[in-house]
Amino acid sequence: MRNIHLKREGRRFLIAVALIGFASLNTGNNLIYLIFSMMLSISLISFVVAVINLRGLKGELSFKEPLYAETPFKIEVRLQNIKTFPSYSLSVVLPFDSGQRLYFPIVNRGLNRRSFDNITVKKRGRYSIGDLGLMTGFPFIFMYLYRRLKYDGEVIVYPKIIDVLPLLKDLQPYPSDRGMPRIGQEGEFLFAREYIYGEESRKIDWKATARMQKTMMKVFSKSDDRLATVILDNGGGAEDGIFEKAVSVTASLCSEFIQRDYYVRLITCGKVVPFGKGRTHLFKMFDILAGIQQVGVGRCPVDELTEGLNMLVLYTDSSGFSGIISQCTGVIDARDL
Amino acid sequence: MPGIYKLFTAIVAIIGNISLISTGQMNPLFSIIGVGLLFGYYRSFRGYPQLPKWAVGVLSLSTFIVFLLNFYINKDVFISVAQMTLIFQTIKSFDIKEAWDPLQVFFVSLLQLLMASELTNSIYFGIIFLLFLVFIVISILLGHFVSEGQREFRPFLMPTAFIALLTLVFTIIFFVSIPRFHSGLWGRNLSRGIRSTGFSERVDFGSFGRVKLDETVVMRMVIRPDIQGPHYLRGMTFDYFDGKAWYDRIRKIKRIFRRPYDFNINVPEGIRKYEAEIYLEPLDSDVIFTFKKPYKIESEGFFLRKDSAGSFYMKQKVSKRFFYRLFSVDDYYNDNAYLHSYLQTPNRIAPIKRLTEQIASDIRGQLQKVEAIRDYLLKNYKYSLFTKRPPDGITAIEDFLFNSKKGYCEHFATAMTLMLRSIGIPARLVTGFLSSQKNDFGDYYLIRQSDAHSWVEAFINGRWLTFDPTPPVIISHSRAGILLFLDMIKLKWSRYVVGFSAYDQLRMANYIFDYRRMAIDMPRFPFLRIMLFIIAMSILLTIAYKLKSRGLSYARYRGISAEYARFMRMVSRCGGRVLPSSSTEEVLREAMQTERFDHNDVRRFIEAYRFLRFSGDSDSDLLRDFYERAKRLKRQKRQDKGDK
Repeated sequence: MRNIHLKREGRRFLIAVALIGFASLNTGNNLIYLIFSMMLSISLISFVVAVINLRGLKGELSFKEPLYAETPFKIEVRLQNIKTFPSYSLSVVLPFDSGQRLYFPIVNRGLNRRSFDNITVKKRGRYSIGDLGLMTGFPFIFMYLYRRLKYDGEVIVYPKIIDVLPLLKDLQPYPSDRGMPRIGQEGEFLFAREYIYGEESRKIDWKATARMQKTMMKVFSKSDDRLATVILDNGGGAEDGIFEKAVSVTASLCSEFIQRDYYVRLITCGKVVPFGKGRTHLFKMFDILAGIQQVGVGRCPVDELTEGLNMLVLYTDSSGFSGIISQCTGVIDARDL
Repeated sequence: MPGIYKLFTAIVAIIGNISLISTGQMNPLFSIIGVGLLFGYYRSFRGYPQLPKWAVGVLSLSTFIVFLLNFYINKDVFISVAQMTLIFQTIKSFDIKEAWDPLQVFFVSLLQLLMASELTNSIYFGIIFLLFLVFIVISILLGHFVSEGQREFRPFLMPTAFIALLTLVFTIIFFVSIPRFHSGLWGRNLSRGIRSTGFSERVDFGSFGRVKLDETVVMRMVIRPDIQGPHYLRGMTFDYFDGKAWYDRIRKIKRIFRRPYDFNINVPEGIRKYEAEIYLEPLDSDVIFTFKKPYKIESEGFFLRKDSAGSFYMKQKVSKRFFYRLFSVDDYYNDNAYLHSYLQTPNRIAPIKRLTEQIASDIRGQLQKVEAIRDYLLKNYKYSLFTKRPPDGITAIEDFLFNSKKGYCEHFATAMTLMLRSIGIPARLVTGFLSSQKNDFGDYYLIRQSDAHSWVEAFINGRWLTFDPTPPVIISHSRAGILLFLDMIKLKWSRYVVGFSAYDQLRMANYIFDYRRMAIDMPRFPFLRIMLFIIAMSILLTIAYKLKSRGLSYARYRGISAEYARFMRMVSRCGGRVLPSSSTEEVLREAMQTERFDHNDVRRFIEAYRFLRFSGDSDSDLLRDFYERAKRLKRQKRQDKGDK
């Protein structure tokens, strides 16, 4: 799929072409026909060369690290030119909201790799790789020709991670390494978490599996187990900016607790990520948070809060989780950040 | 802004100004101001501060005021605008700051070129246009890279040259294929015609002397079959002479409407026919020059005009070159209308009559009498362009006949006309040109102002016969080969660019779609030949470019294999036992054993080949290294051969 974007210079040039065309017709002067021919020729070449320039190209993006909103990252672009001649002055248009362009002066035949630093994406979310585009204004200055690359797949940009330690400092009980909350008797069933490939089947929690429609494992308490539940109230209708802050704080809390080796559970209106720990679990929660949206105002029922830390992140007065505020260890209002 | 971009902006601006100045229609003062842009761009290159915004504003306003004054004085808005652009370009040269500024310069230069096209038809415009095309393409390309933040332009030289060439080719294709109309709708061409003499309703006696010294080319003519000259190109005839000037008092003109591209007058049978292509420069006259008796004229326009004496005229005076094809026969007009008008004589004819009677009294037969008078003038009078003013009381023609006996064509023709009329033979003065110089480069005749001529037509035995009483003179024209060659180029420019028409398009289309003719011979049109040459050159250049790209495109599968096969052959020639079935390991071993190649190079070359050929991946750096090694191995082989 190709799009043409005429630049200001291009629009003026076309107007000039039309006027000179009229002048040549009007005067019958062959020298004006000559100028008119030159301008038609430039217009045609401008388009044809741009089309050829975009042909026979395949592009790939490679990310060296997870992407977080508003956080600079590094990206490697691989452009494969299968034409027999080079393409010139190409830009790869990233599929993110900012529509950033990564410029390639020459794309020789074969594989061309180029890394770009300090790329930032403003908004978290799931971006389709199909939106990755190639753009060229070559050879002239009159237009941009844009072509979308035909790929499936998506890039997930996680919420911005901020330092949440100052927010946790005043919490009781303090979620530090010492003075951790007690979690049941040793060997007592605590909760069910998702099955991880290779685990023993005898610990599968069949009831929970039936309820959750996915394989769940029983988790039994140990003396050093710590639990944290992070609740994001996404049931209100607030400004996007404040909601984004709330999501960012939630993601940062999850990250902080996982780093501290907590079993972390994420609860939002409509979606729940059961307890789990480790980096894989963290990114499961991040996946949810990357695409989370505000839902209609209303109550978001939570069966019960387990022992351990329960952190509620709010951003409106009418919280869907108002019934459990008193049970929470800490409540963070994103409007205060 | 990079210096190279400034340089090309300056070049485009200079071309724009030159295009106007070279028309010769700009006021010298404005032309000098236009040259001031050199100083502006010099400052810009040296990095001096550009003019502040307010100063540019004040100067622009002043320019507008100058434009208004200029328009008020010369009453020509077109010229005034053209002169204003000269000043504007100069002001702009002191104000090149932002990326948009060069684009303004390009647009103004385009406007200047456009105006120049209305002010001139000269081939110099063609040269300027060509330069403009090349430099505007390069400049816009540079503009593109500058807008993308590029500062290094060397890698783009090849595509830039290619695109400039492509633009030229497409320009030619568009130029020949855009449909033409016979003339403009309501535009006017401002290029000035050449001032001529002898082709208006009144011609003052003695006026030919001035133009006979003028070497300006007024006409070029190709004649087929190439009959030996000189050729009389008939313009106008005159019937009335008052002693001081000739007049065309009859001037009964009627329109002849065309059938498709020709004006069929009368097609006689059994008489020699010949054909001429005539390229007439813009004259201050509407006369079409013909041979004795044309039967067909092909030209643009819906109609021509013809008078009772067989002179032809265009629809109106044209300010651009006029091309027509003339088909004539060796025959004479036999129109006997208005014969009495051709017997008119001025008041003091008696002395002339006496002289004529002395010459022709003993001769019988009108034709013999006319020839005797012509021969008398040829024998007894001398040709001279330098005539004195006649003494008081004597007319110029009396002075010529009885006193000075020196004069030029006008004197001779007038004298003979009056002499014939004095004895009752209808005669008329004819003005036109007499071809004298042939340009062998283009196989055509060059006809100049100095070839302007007048002769006599006498009505004898029911036909208008031509007589030239002027003694033949040897006129030395410039014969420098280079000048004649340039003139040929000018003719081609005039014919195939300035004079390109719907008629040519039709002929080209007929030619192209006439496959039988295409199969037999090469195109007759030089223009088509040039086109074919350009297209062929473009194809060749494209192929060359592709081949070069292939050499540089390291990821090409066949390129790698070809290099490897070449290396195998080299090893084999150096005594290694290499078979087509040899593995890379065997080739490596054999190459090492030959001791002709650097071992490290051989190893890296083979390793790179294995990876590139079999890994299914391609790496630009590795490919570059592969080809570099291949080159080095070849060099080592050559060195080895040289040492031996």
